[in-house]
Amino acid sequence: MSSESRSRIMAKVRGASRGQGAAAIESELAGMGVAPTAPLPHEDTCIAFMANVLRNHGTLDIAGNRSEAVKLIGQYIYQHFRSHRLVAGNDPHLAAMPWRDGGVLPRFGEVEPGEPVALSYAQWGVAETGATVFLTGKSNPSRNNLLPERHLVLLDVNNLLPDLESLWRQIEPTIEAGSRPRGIQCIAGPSSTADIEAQLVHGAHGPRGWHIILTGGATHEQLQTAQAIVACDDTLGGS
Amino acid sequence: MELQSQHFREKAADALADSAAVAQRDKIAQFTPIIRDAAMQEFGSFEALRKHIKRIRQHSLDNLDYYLARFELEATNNGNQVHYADTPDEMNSIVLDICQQHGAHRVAKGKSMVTEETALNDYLQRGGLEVVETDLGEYIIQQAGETPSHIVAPALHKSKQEIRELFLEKHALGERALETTEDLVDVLIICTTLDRILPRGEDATAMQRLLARSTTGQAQTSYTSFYSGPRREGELDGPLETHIVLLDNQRTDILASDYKEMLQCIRCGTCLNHCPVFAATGGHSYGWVYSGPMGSILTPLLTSLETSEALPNACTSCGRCGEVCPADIPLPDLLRDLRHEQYQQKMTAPRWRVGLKLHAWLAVRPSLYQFLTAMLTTVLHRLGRKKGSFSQLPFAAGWTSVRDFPAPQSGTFMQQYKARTKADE
Repeated sequence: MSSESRSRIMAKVRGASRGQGAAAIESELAGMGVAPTAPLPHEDTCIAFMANVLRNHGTLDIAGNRSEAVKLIGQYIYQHFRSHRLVAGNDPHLAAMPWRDGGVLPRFGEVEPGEPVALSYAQWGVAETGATVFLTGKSNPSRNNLLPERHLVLLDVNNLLPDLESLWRQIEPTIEAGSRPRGIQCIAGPSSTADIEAQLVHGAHGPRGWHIILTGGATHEQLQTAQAIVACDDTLGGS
Repeated sequence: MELQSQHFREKAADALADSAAVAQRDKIAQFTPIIRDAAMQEFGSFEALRKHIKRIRQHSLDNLDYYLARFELEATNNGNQVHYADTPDEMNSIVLDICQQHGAHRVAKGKSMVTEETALNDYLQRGGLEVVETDLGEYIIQQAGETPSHIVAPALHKSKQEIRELFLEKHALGERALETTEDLVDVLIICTTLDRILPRGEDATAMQRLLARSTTGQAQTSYTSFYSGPRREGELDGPLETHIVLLDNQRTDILASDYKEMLQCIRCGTCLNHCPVFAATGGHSYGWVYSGPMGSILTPLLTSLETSEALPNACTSCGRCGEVCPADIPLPDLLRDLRHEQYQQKMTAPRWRVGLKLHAWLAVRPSLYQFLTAMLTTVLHRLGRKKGSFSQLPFAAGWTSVRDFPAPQSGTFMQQYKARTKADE
């Protein structure tokens, strides 16, 4: 550590700060309340999440049970790559899937160059942003979320949260218990950029496809409602 | 990046002479406010969000001694190595040392205005390293040997055709050049400035609501990652070592000054997108990393008011930047304060000083002011009645050399106001 610079900088910062004690600072912060959240496109959290996923240029499938989820995954891979292979993190939720039901051949670990598709288990989904949230670490390598051409995500609707503040309420107890996750990744769409003439394109830096398989009781009717919301956006020229 | 702000006027004149670039900037200046306004309307309580973030940022800066020490403690406990750099050179040297300690030859670099500020790429390249920008916009301008024209969209000044030709020249067809990097390297070095510390995770995501909508009109970005430290035992990926370099470069002086509010800037580029001077002259005219209204304030504060003398004056005083700034920074006031400082320090040209003195003398004598302006208006009205405008006027060559000056149609505002008030009675 550059200790001389540190001492000099800290002294100047102290000179320009109010010099309050920790308790007074924390109390002042707590008194500032919470930030307003974005309005949800539907009062049903699941429909709101689905609508925002679609707005984020993601795609969705609904699985009634784990066997159906595996079949849908198998169909997706075959449709895009004429293959049955994928890479999945060492997550117990993924290890326990009935892979044979869909004829899928998973390899557990981190994605290697040339492997075009990876499946991740999302800890949570956030309706406000249409984002899937991953705690990176042993069971969830970051590479699997960032490098494949297509990123598949398994998400249980019971883990959907309305907004970002609810997400922090889920994570904070873990941090307070001393086991801070190494990384938190919020993924809300395929990799995109508008760096050239402000035109949005996908897949410049990472996955060009982001596909979510929802388990745990989501219905096709909910998906249809979400699709109708997004179709209405398009008609009105909105999001 | 070498400071060239002293050449603002010449660069602006050159930029205005390039009609294709002017048309491209006009297009961008028209649509960026529209997408930002649409996102703001859709959010609804945008003003409440703006005020909330302002309170949080002010609180963080007021108590930076507490939060900086806390950040260092938590980051170190998480396994990161925290470094402090007083100057740009010190930050560059810290980064190069880390790279050399690990025998690195190639650096994959994410988009960062702080590293543009310190000219890190040049420093590392002089140290024998190859630097590859991983953000598409930054990669384009790196390949072109240019500098960013906008803090958010650095290659927005280049057309699709220009980029196509550049890529065909530099790459074989089908070659993939870019990847998201942060979690995929052995050593991760994060360069930032010490003022950019927030108390809580929820403050970061609340700010993200404000930032994404203000910048691109989107509700959020595709990837938002929170890193706490290096790879842990049994993990398959993640950096083996992480370093956080906190740069000062005058921030502690700004913190103690009347320009403290400038540290609340979230680098969204909204003020650039709404500034008529930026739209007309483009980002490169400003001659350094930061452009538009925020650049016209930050550049003098981070470098020298004397060298970047033209920047606080590159302002029409329209006030749009202050209205749209998501951090609620009084940008027009700060620009005016810098101009006032220039005047006090006698940096302003003598003829401007005389003019400003005369105006100030008149402004506090309203009767005389109104009499003289009424007289001038009457004279100009009579002289210009036939043509409707003047192609030449004494003391106004700056105006008439590029456009005609319209002849006043009738009396001054005060004359008309008095006449209408009398008529209403």
